[in-house]
Amino acid sequence: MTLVRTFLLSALILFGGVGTAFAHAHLLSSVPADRSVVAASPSELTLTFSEGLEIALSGVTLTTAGKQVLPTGKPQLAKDSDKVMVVPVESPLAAGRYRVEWHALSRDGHSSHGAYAFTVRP
Amino acid sequence: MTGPIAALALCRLTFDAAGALLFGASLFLAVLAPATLRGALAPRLGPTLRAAVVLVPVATLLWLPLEAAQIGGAWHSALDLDLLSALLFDTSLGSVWLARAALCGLLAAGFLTTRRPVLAVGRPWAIVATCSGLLLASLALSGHAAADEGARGTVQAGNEALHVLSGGAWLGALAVLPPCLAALREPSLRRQAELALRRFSTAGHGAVALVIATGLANTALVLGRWPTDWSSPYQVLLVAKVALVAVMVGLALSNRYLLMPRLAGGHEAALGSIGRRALAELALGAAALALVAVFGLLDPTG
Repeated sequence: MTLVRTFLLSALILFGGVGTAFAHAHLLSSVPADRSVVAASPSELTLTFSEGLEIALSGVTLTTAGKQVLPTGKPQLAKDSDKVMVVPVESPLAAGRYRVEWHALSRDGHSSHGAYAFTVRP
Repeated sequence: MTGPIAALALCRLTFDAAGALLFGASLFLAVLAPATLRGALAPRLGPTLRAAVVLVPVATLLWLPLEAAQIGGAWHSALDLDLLSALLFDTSLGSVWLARAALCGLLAAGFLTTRRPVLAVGRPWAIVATCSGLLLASLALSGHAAADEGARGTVQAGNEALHVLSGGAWLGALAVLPPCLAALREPSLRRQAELALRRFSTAGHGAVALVIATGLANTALVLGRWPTDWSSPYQVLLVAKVALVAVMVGLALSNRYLLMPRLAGGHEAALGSIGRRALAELALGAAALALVAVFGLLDPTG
């Protein structure tokens, strides 16, 4: 029965990783960062995620403190990583607080969303 | 878990289970069973295989609107044409779906030729096995592996494909075991059934070993740690699946090393036990697939 025991133990140990096939895309970092204060208007928003993105179904909404939605360019993947989304900011941002609401579809089909805020210094 | 996500889990379970059954069973019929035995077993498996051949395309078709509902976060998004067309034509998930839809067509055609051999197709079960195998392997393209980049992502996808194929071959072939064991009692089929069972025993070792080896590689590539955080529902479900698979391996080994020798020694009573254990393995395998479908939708880091 040593063989049986070896097999059972192997299975117990080895099957640990099986089935971890799906994961959600988490926002790891952004530029400008959450709760940061920047000196000048950013020309683009850069969001780095934990998973590769389906860019066609990922994007952001940029709003002012007064809840006004600002125009943003088409979200694109960074050249060197499909985990990084770059969104051009169409016109310079005036001083004030801005909110970024993001939604992401990871390559494995999971959608996730969240929000962060940054401030442009007067 | 919200409605669309639960529906998506059910859809994935149906696809996995029906796909594995078709793949393993058709592989058994195409490769392990000699012609006469194949001709005798196929009709006995008819209703099960027919159900699987219907369920695979149904689950495939439903996946697209359910995925849209999951993305939109509401049921009505399932019929959002803009969302559906973006999903279908602008994402890699959409490309995988289109390939699956085409394979489903081939699968249905292949299955029909197994029932109407008038068509000049040499090995219809090999066609069914190939199509269902490619459908199963496509799971690797829509899983976590696809979310990783470069060579690591490719290795991961290849490993995942091997894992679902070896697991599917094992599970699906188990469904053929009971009728094959019953054939041992029929004088005209006895010798071929013995041959098929010997081949199954050899191939089974390979499949189970491959399942475990690819499981190990998957651990190294994806998780990188033991599922020991019991406050995470994801990791608890993972440990539950490990336990189920361990019992399955135990049953398979007891069949092979305790009961088969007894059967060879002339103890016909062992036949019933072997069949029951094979069915128990199959039930545990289905439960393991159900766990995969559920925890596959949970967040591993949550």
